[in-house]
Amino acid sequence: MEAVARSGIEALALTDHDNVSGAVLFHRLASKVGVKPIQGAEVTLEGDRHLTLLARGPEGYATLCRLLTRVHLGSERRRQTLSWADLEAEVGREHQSTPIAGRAPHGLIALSGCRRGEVPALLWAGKSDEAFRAAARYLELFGRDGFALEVQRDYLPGGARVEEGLVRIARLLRLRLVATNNVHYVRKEDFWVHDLLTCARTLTSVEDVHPERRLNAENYLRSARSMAALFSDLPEAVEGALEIAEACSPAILPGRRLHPAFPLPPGEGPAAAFLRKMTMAGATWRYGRVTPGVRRRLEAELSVICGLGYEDYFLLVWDLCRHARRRGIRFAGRGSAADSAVAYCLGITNVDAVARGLLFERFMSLERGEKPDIDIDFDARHRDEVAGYVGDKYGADRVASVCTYNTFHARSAARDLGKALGLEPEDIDLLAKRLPHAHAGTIPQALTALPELRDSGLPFWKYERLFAAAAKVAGFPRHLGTHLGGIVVSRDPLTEVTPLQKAAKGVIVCQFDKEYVEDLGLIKLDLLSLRTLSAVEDAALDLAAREGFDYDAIPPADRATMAMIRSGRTVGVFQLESPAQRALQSRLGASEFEDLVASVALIRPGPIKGNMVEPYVARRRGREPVNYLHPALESILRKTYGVVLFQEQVIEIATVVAGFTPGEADRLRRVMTHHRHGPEMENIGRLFVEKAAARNIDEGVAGRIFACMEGYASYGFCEAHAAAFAATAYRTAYMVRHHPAEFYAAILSHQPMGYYPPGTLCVEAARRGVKTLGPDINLSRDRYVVERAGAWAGERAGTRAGEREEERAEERRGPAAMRVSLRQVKHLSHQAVTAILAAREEGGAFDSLLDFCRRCHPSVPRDAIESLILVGAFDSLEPNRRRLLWQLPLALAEPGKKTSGRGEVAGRGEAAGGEGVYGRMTGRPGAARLVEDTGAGAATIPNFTLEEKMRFEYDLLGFSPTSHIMAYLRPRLKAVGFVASNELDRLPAGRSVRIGGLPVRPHRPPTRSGKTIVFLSLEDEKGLADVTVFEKTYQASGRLLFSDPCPPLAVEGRTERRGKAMTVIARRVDRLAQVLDSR
Amino acid sequence: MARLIDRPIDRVRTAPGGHPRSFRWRGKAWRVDRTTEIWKDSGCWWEGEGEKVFFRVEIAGGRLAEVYFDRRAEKWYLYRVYD
Repeated sequence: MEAVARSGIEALALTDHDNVSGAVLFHRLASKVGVKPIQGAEVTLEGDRHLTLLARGPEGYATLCRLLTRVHLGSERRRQTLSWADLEAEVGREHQSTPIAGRAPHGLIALSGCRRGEVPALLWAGKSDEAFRAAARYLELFGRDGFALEVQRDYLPGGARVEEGLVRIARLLRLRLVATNNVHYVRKEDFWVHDLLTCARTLTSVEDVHPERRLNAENYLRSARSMAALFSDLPEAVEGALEIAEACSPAILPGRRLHPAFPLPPGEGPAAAFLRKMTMAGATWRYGRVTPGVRRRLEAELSVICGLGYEDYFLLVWDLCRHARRRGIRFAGRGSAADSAVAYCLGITNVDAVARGLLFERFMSLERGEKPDIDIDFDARHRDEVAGYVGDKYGADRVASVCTYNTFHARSAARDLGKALGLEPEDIDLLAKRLPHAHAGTIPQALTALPELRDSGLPFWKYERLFAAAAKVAGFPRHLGTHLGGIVVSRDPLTEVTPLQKAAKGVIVCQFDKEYVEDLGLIKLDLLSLRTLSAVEDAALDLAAREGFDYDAIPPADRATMAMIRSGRTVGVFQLESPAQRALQSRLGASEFEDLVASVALIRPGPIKGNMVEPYVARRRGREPVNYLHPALESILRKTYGVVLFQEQVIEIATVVAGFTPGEADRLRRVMTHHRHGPEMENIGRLFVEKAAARNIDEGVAGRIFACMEGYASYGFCEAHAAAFAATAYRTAYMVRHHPAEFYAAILSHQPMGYYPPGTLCVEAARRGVKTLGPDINLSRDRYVVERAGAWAGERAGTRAGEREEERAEERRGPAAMRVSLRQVKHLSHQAVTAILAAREEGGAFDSLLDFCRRCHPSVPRDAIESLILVGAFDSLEPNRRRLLWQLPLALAEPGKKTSGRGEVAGRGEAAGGEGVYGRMTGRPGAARLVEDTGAGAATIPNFTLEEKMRFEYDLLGFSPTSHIMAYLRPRLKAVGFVASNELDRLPAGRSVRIGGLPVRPHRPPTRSGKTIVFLSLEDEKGLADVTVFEKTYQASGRLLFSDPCPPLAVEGRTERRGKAMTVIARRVDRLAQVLDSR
Repeated sequence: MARLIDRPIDRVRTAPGGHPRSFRWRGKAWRVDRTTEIWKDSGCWWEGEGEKVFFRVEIAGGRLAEVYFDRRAEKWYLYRVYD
């Protein structure tokens, strides 16, 4: 927009194709540089014709939004066009003498469009008469003031003929001519980037011909003077453009408010009174006796909430939480809303803001006057149900999801543009997989800095244009997505301010993301999906049924749970399971809930990079004295040992020490969070010192306090949010400590979630005495289930009813194990799993492979059955997996017959044809010919070896219930001096050590020095060993660490103690297979 | 009937706006009576081609021809002749 302003352009129209997503940002930027923003869109009509529509103002913008909604929702996705009937329906006959009663004028100006507009396209095709009739039709619909013929001089072949025709029609129909510039990029020399993006969008390469690719580089921004010169022989067209610019006004109404009104129960009202009533009732529910202090706090909050006009919003959120509670849907409020005692009393959050002394001003303040942002996590399975409840209550046309603008980053730019440039797909895939999640302009630096790229052998010299293009498109919008939780609720139909469209999975989204919806007058709330809550719910229900367990009554300070957290054994615990968190817990010596709150705030890139963690740990452990720069700070910082850890503390210090108003204090918080360096920080620092001095605080002390806040608080975290997460962290830790079987089974059932892959969770469960049982065709379900000793010793579904009670009693007594879910097996679709369970329910347990095929095939296709065989799901019926594979074609071909003998495998088609899963995995003949080719008989078919079984299981399950690969290799590893993960703790620090395992999530967090440090865990049969790889070793071995898939690794290094845990500082990293083979 | 030529031409004289006024091809001078249309083509930019500016012109005898100026090579070409 700065280029526009420099070009002497006074008004500019934004006319994206079928989209107004840029409207708010365009409005903001244009207003900033003094250019009049005209909002429009280039609408695609039936027949793939374009029509440019400009909004004269807010009314026209609303018509445009309704029209675009018809474009997106009125036809199949990806074939979005607007029918003439729809256009007529929205535009109406406003220009006629008898407009439709009660109907607002459409407020649009239509232009005949680019070369793909109906009138120009007909003229280009030499169909002058048809072009004339089409123009007359648009004139009839939009009226003389509402339709103009658009002249573009973009140097395309046939342009002169089209322009002659347009001028002729304009004179015949007395229509206005308008000179326009169809701008797609600012500078002419950027044409090639636009062309590449067009190729990427149309899934073509530069060598392909496509009608949407432009022939030349003439769609750049021309200055006002250049346009006047270009059209010097057609001055009326320039005047026409200026007249239209004059007739249009900005489409976005500042200060508009479309917040919904909460439908009050009969006899209640107004909303503020009802909110007060519900809050006070909630206070009694939460506190029992409402103290004057609590009452004062609630009244103060209510006066801010109602003073800013958000009573309906709070009631809306209260109502949906009440609905969730009634439906038994688990949820938890998070974010700064937990700073509110009203939100706590309304049951929106579970953090007692009064007891914790949390500052409401962090959430809302009269002075700031901003819209409150309430985020709530729901059990992932039911989040959509809650959103649906809001839609039902306020009207489907008034509720929609917020969209996200997915932009080009290094990987997506490399993939899309590499393909458009026609580069080798395999090379592009390798490059993209090894690129970090980074800015698209940083690819060249990554190529030299990252060994996995540097040593990849890719011909980078061929990719110079790709990297240049990637840098150009960095941050450009790539596609519209759906925000994970954000929804907007409006008083009026949403199509007054935003077009609606369908995103993936049929979700209706608006065309604006969370940053822009508020400018439209909409209010947003975040209803997020949290799988942890789904896992909690499953485990809690299982336990409640078995032993009357109540998750909500978990004791608040369970010593065993805290001891477990202190030990750093927190795999599976919400928010506390990453290697950094595990290491912190043992160093911190966590003993109370507040330690968990601090932990959630500490382990993030900011505090780690800012070196905040170690000073905090030292004070917490009493190794450093806790002191305060001023006595007034003690009450604020006592709970964090004198360290400024939370944003609320910044606000409170500014208020108490410098007498800042809540608004000033929040501004300080924002400056520290977003503008850590620069004049704004200096200015607010001066203000802090001045105001503190005015309150008789020594200037030097005030300066040191500010410097302290600057040093720590720039990475500060919202305490309310940390406390909300810490509550779930503690409870899930309790579940891991006391009910590992049920909880790990639940976590495994809700993958992907958390930090670790299923295999690691199984190892961790095993460390806690919970065995993982392989999938069983008669026992596995659609989720992991807990079996007790006795149940998994051989019983099958279909046990006689009389035996059940005894079984259950034994289950209650015996050690627990987790049975792998059918959904864990690769190639098994949801439908296949459903079919198996239905067949089992209907006809009881399967007694043979043949029986299974007869009852489940073809609902369960061959690939799925092969997978089941290879992972051992039929072992209880026939332990020889290879023999079952051999029998499978016959079982599929002749489901009514028994299988026996050799030479009967003659079936073809799906039954016997193709390579199947086994064939693809081994590169050997398909299962059908497995034995036939070797001449063996069924009776002599040997089973797969243990190694083969494990390999199939790792490939098809992601882990091996039969045996961990490292357990299998242990004798060899031991012979060459490798130690297991559980032996590390017993070794002294500084000891040279060799360790092997499956790498888990190698990652490179940002560091203060800028040097790369890689953290990873190595999983073996005993647990996890944490490994740190510093720059030098990383440069030598990064190719291994970040390859995909990453092979089992051997690490040589020295032990280093961190709290109670031991980590290995790597000196050398190799492929494990290579190390073993060389010995 | 159009014939594709796409061969360099020389001794091109141009008007102030860059339009060709005359050119020489196969040893013969051709005078341009009128330029009827101009268009531009960015060509295969990924292969290093430059922009070409095309002129459809009426040459002596009422014949139509298309000539272009290759901006990168700074050369003129006779692209097509209509018989």
